Amino acid sequence: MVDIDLSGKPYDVGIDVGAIATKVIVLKEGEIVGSLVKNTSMEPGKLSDSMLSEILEGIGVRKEEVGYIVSTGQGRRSIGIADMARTEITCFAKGAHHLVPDSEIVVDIGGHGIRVMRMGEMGVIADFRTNDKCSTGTGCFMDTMAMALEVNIEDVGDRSLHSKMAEHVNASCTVFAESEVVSLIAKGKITDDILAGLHNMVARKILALVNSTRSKGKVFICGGVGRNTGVVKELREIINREMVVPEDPHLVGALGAALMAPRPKVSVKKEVDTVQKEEVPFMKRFLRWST
Amino acid sequence: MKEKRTSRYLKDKDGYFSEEQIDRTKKRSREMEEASRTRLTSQKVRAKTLTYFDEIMKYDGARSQELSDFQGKGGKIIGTMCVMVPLELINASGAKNVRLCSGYYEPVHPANELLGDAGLCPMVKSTLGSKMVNANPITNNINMVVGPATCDGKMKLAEILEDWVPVVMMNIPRVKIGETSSDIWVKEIEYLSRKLEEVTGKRISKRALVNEIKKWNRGHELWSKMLDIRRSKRPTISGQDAMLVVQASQMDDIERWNKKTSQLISELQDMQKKGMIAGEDGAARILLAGSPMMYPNFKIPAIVEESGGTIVHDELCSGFRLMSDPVMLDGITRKGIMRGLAERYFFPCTCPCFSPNDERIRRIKESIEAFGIEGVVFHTLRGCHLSNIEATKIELELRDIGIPMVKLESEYDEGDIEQVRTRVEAFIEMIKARRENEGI
Amino acid sequence: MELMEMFKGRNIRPWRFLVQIGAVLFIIGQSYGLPPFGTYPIFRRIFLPNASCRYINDAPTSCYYYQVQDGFTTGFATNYVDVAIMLAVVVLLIILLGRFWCSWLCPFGLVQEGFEKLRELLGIPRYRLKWKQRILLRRVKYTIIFLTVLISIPIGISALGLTSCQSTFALPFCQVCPAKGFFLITQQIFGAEPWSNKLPLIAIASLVVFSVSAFFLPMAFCRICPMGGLMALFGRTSLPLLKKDPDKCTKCRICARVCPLDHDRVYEDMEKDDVGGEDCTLCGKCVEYCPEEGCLSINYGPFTLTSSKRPRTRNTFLGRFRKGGGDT
Repeated sequence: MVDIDLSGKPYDVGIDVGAIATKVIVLKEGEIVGSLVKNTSMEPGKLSDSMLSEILEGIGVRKEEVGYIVSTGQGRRSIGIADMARTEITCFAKGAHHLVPDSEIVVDIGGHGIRVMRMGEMGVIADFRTNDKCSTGTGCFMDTMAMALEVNIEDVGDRSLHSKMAEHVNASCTVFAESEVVSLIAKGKITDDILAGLHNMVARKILALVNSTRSKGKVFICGGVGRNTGVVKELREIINREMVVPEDPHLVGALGAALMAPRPKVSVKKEVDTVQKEEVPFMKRFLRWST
Repeated sequence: MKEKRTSRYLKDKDGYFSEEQIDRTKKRSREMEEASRTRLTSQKVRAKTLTYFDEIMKYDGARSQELSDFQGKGGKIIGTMCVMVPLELINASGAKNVRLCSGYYEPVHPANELLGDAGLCPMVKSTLGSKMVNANPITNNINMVVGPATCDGKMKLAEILEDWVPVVMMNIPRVKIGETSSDIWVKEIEYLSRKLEEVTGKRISKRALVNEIKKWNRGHELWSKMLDIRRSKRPTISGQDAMLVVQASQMDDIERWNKKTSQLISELQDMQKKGMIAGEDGAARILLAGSPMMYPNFKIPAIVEESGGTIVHDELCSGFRLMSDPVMLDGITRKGIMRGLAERYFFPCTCPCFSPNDERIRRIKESIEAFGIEGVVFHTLRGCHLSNIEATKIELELRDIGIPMVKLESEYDEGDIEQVRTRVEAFIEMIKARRENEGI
Repeated sequence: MELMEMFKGRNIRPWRFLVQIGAVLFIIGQSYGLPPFGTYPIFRRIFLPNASCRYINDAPTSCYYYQVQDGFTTGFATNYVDVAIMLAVVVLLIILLGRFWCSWLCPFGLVQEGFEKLRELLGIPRYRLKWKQRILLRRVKYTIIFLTVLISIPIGISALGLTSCQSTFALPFCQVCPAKGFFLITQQIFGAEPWSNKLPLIAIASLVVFSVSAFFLPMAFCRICPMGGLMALFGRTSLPLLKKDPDKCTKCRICARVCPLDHDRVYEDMEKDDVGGEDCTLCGKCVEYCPEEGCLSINYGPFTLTSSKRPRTRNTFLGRFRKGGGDT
């Protein structure tokens, strides 16, 4: 952990170098003041550096005013400017806990991986699962499918909502799913229906991971695929739990990273603590202690 | 009518592989071993005596030369495939033991060509491949293989290996029911001793057997001292090194191993007095469980210890369990010794091939308490169904006592190393966050 | 023998041997000219719950089972008060010392261990009972108790007209008890008893059966000993206990293997910490051989008398100079 003189440096930066997109976020006392998303290049270090300067310019903040820079994501270790690197699992959970504190399951559907975190007390992960050597349901999978169907990746979700009868897609491997999709196209099926079928398959795959945590609590969806309205709709239908999708699901990781900055705890909490302590009468305290 | 059995798996087993393939396998294996060794030797705090164990486990080290010299003088080398083979018996017959289970990645390919399934256990494939192309100098020239039918992979592996070397298969009762299964296993051990006598041409005397048992018990005693060091707040030996040491016992002469290990222990104790610590200060204390990891396939322990954890204990048949229980004899009848030997290798074994296997869970829980474990890394090799199935049960049991567990499925190749690293790092971050939370 | 010295963590056997010798001297020493403790009348009133035989001349006391049979036969007129009082004392003794009476204080137990040692020296493997046989023997034990009572009481009641059978059926168990034959013969051999007193045929037959079975099966008599049967009923209430820490147990089954009485609860039970009872005679052999530190222990009430220890390879003085095992 790096110790930094924090006076006059109210800004924290979170950089999430994902497999597909790099997300940079600037935070001031827990509020997002600026963010930027770009496709990850071959040199994530340079890219994130330029992205950071772009944001800072946009909001008129000098570089010296930045306190901590925390990197996360699969390329977290290639960010030279970062003060510390944390895994995306930790960061997504942190961000999710910040946005919806009572969420029990955090599902991050990223470019290359699906991660399901079960939250314990105080926003600390109790348990997590990831996809094991299988890319179904990830962003890359959706990209491939969109390409096979010649649909723009941004439109995938909305188009599938128009479907009246979803096709059935069985294969659970990116390559075989693609050939299945191609054969469906050859049969003359409607693109929207195929997309709906794909989304249904992805949702079932995610549900299996969610169920394996054996928790029935509130589900928080984040990561790039969280922007795909089709997947979210299918999930909502089958998940049988309360489900929350934030406005910018793909930024949650970067937000969590920025929150990972080791700022001293806000003093408001301490006051609450002392008030509570005074309220407990002596006998009660004694009883509590004696048990 | 006894007929010489012909090869069932490869008709022309000698001429099948090109020179180039054999050379490549050997070269890559050597490279892999060197890389693993460099990773081990580059640890900051490392006892000097450990170089001896490095040498024993080295791909083309002094040990392979020693073994071939021994064989040149008419000695026999017996390959073992499992932790359940009584090595005392092998030593008492005058033969030397060598653990066959291979941790090299490259020999997987020849075996893949033969078996044609990518989903099989890489350890089985690697062991078979090493034999097929003679890739491992230590295990090349074995006179006989002892293969207990534990897991499905090893059972069938022993059968396939019969095309290359004579194999003694042993039937392990998979359900432990007191006398009944014990009787079966005692008979199997007696059968093994008969076979060993056939191969070595030497009768296994009671005295030799008891003496060997004493030597191995000495090894057990030393290993429990080692566990004391690892149990302490500041262990001076990393989990990888400890695993290397205990795996060397399967390759080395036990008497020399004992000598070197007691040297190592006194060195480690000195280091402890100087206040040294292996790994990071305040590292997460990790228990390693699951499928075996044979040297040089130390990928997972290396990742764990590089990401801020220290493996203070393991529950592997390639680690702790090799030396975990002594043979206790209460009489000197031959039958009594055989029974004692058989029960030592059978009853305390918590291999997932046994069912029900509650002892394993209890042992894990007990070591969690004794070693101050903060998290369990459960490793399963690809295709290790037994471990895979038990993982769920263990995870649920551990959840009840509030210990997190991460399950990692891996193969021998390094392709998934970054994926695994992310998960291990997240796991250790999680443990440390929990620790902070509890501190508040 | 020297081969075996390393295989114990805790050595209880020598202490037990000393106690056993002491007990034997106390009980049978008088026949061979040792000072008679037996002059103190108090000893004549207390009967022991172990096989210290009535047929030892001048013994200060004897097994209570003789007295029970005798009391059942003669006590009809006095409403069995004597038997009841004596049994109460015996129960008190059982609660105080539990099955220490068996493997630490029973002279007949020492005899059986002698047979066992002889077998070991000859290198003959012991016979292991099958589960069914064990259950059968346990039933035999209680059947013996039942039959003794069934025979002893009616022959003492004159109204039933069976008093004429007293000459043949009195003391039914002692007639077949091998201890009687054994102690009488040893006394005859050592000259404490004249050879002219012929042993009944049935006693000789039971002695032969006993000798053969005790040779192949350790503690053969203990398995059917009716006194042990009564003690087993009080096994859990008496103060000495065999305890096990299930957390430390590795289920290696050494305890079940070394147990002379094939008492397998030590191995099987993983819930309760009290694993004695039934056939256990508290000989402590499992505690000696258990390789886990502090897993098994012999307790007296709340105090731990001894507990298992990790075996040391060089725990004996001689072991240092002997080849093999050590790493000098």
